[in-house]
Amino acid sequence: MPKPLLPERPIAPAVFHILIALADQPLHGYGIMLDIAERSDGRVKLSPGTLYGSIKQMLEDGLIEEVAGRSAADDERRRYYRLTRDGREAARQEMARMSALLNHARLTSLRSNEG
Amino acid sequence: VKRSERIYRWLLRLYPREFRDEYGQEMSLLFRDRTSEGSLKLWLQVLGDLLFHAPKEHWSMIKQDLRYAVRTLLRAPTFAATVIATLALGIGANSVIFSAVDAVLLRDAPVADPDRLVDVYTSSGNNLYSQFSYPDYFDLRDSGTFASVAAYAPVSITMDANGQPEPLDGQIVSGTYFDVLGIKIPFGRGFMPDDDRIGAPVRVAVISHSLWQRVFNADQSLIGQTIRLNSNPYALIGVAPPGFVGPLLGVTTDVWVPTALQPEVDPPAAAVRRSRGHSGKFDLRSSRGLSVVGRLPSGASIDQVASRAEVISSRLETAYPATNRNRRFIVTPLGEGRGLRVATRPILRQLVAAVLLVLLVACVNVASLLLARAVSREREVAVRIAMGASSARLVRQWLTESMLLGILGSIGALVVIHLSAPLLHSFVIPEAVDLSVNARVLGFTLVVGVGSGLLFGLAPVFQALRRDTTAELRERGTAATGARASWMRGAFVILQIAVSLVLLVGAGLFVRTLENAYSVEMSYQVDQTLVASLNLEARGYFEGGSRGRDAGLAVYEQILSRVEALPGVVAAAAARTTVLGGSARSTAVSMDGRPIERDNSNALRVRANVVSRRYFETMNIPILQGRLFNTSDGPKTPRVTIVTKSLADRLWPNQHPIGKPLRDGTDQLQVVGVVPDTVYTTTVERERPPAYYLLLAQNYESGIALHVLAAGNPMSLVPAIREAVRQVDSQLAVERPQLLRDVLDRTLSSQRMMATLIGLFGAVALVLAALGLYGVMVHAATQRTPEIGIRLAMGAQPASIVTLLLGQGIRLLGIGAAIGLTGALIGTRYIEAQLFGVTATDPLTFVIGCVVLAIAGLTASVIPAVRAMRVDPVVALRQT
Repeated sequence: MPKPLLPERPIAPAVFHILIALADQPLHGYGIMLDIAERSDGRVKLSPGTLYGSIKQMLEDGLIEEVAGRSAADDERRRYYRLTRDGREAARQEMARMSALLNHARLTSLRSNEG
Repeated sequence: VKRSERIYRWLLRLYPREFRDEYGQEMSLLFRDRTSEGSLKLWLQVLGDLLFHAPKEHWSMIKQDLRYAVRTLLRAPTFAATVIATLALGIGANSVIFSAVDAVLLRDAPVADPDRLVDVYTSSGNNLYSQFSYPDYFDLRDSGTFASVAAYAPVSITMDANGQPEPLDGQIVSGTYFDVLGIKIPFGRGFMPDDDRIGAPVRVAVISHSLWQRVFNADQSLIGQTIRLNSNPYALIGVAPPGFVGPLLGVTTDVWVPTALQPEVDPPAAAVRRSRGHSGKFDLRSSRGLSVVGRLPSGASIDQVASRAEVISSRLETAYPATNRNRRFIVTPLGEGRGLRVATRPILRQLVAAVLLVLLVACVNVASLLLARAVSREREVAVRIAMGASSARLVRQWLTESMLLGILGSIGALVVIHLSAPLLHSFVIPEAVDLSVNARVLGFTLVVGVGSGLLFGLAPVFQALRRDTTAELRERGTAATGARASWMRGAFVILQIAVSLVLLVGAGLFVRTLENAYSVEMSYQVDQTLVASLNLEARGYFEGGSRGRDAGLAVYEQILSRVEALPGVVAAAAARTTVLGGSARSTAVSMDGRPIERDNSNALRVRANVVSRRYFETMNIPILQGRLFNTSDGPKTPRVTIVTKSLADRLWPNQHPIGKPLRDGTDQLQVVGVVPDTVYTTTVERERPPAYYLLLAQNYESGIALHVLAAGNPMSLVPAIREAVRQVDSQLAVERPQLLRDVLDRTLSSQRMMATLIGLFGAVALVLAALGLYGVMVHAATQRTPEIGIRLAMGAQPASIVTLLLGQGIRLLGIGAAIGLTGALIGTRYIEAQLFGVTATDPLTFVIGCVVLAIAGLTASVIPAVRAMRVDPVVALRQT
């Protein structure tokens, strides 16, 4: 059963990264890792334990699901994951939560120090 | 490259198997993809990752298993409650005994660095653990054998608490006492060498934390003030830390005073004082009442110190042959020479064995219940296996469930401990020993709970692992697994029956011991006689004391005549030693009338008591020959004695003993009467040495026990007795008034404890075994319902059905009893030393044990058998 995601409760950063990576295409574990590394200029590199621990939890929570391999050329042992409707919704809520938070932050003196 | 990937794959085993099966392959692929990134950095990251995530995955699985286990147990509340109650009893019994073991055997004395402290004794012949005399102690102290050494001895002290005399347990201690024990005094100060100069005593006292709270309301401003002890002013210089009562376990201490005060606080026996003319024991090598504790010099082992002490004692033997012949100083680790620890160790050992047996029976019971349940859960298990659950996963799930049961049982056990601490305190564990649950007892209880969970959880696991999944999905359980479970449960029941019988026989032997201990012929009216201590020493009534001996005698006369005049009092007397209290004053008399030789060649070991005139009437002891003590016997008339028949027979066989002279260590006495030999120290003593009685009026004692024989309830006389004593001396305390029955009960506390506890454990084991047997019988009856239906339909007599089923119960009972009898024959040898009036292989006890077992077992078998007989053949046949 998917957990109800409260807007006030942040999603774990690793989970959010995976949700973003899977937003536009199904990927396998290594693909997810490469995607995240690429988006962050190599600064965020999920370790195998974090990656597969998160994947396991996200599967259990129904945020992602397994799909059949994309192409025959791919190694058959690789498993591909894609977002579920719940996963997409969770990512959207996290996005909204973060941007609301940012908006609040911009109204403070913190903004003057930006860039 | 290939090798590093192999290592990584191997390391992945740290993850739970399920996680590994699911993601292991991908993780190694990912690892392979990354081997291009410099290997050291990769390995560091990979190892850190493993160490963090592998335990996390394990924990998440345990949580999942626990959730599942809780749900499963909530679905079967009766089953869960039965198991938890059974375990609470089994684990609880172990925890209770462990709390006693912990308090008595494991816990360190409340002193600094107890491993470096030793007890020192002077051993002589059979008497291995004798105490020290002052001169021997001084010589040992000055020899430098120990880094530091201290002496202490118990004394009774009466404190004036707002005009009311308050009897206290005191210790007279050397100035080094607190330093040797490493005790920091939190309020005020401890003793210093200046406080304890022999010949220049100062009246200073340190009190216990509990006395400070109880009587002085923890008032710090009292430190440095004066308190009155034994009617003398003492400076209260300090309060001991909370919980500190001295190096001896189970001893209560309210107040400590320096040894320099010995002449007024702890004077020697009357005869010694008379012969010496003063009451100092400081140069008296023959009076041994000091306990000695020493701290080992740094770097020295206990063996090195022991041999040095031995050298000192042989030097003393040469110098003082009259007192120190064959006397050796021996050294033991703190509390290991004599005392509560040594006295209770064999009892506790037997109790530990008994509670382990109870736990075994409880675990087997639970295992049997789990097995029965496993058979009924077979379909559920088969479904899970078919859905891909690995057998390892299932085993893990089962064990989690049984460990959860174990932990819940442990929590129940804590309730059992809480309820039974008073029970232990009422037997051999003194009130002064704290039995509250500490971290160690808690840890023990949990470990036993989890351990038991693993133990009984294995039974259904063994059973569950040998199955044929597809066959089970097809049918509703195969005959083969059912049969194997039945076989296992049968074996379990046999084990339970055997163990219960061992415990029952043990309990029977202890109960018969207790019965024998109480049925020993005594002349005393234990329920009608009250005893209470009077400490005249504390008021200075002794030779050399502030009030003197003659005033003391007058006090006795007045108290006894006032008490005898009270309505409801039949007779009253005073005696130095209270019978049945477990101790006796032992001395020697001459066998040939000549003075006792140095080498004791003409000495006979006897018991002695100093009693007042009406003692024999009060204690209901008849006179066999001659006369009782009477008013004409006084301090100025010839000294007289009454001897027991065995002493008269021994010294003057076939002669008339009246008028004969009896010579003891100091005096010549004239025998005026003969009384029968009566029970003296305790009813379970194996030998009763002869005894003689001295008259109090001729042998003054400053500490005696008042004995009062009452017509009604003696305890109701206590206020009147206190008032009578107060009228004679308002500061004289009547200490610990109690029935002679209570004195006997306390002396027999280990026998009472064993009879009660082993009896209790035997009963628990019997009930559990009966329940186990009942379960097996119900199961057998249910399985054979179709067969029974056919038999009944074919015209079988219902009674024959009962016989059929009962046969199985009787077979299990018989095998169990045979094994149990063998076990009991072997096991009871270990308790032989504790038995009294009954042999370890007493046939009657064995027979009674078997009969009790048979009644319980047959009851458990008959009920399901009769129920099976009443089955409706039509219903039964439909089940096939």
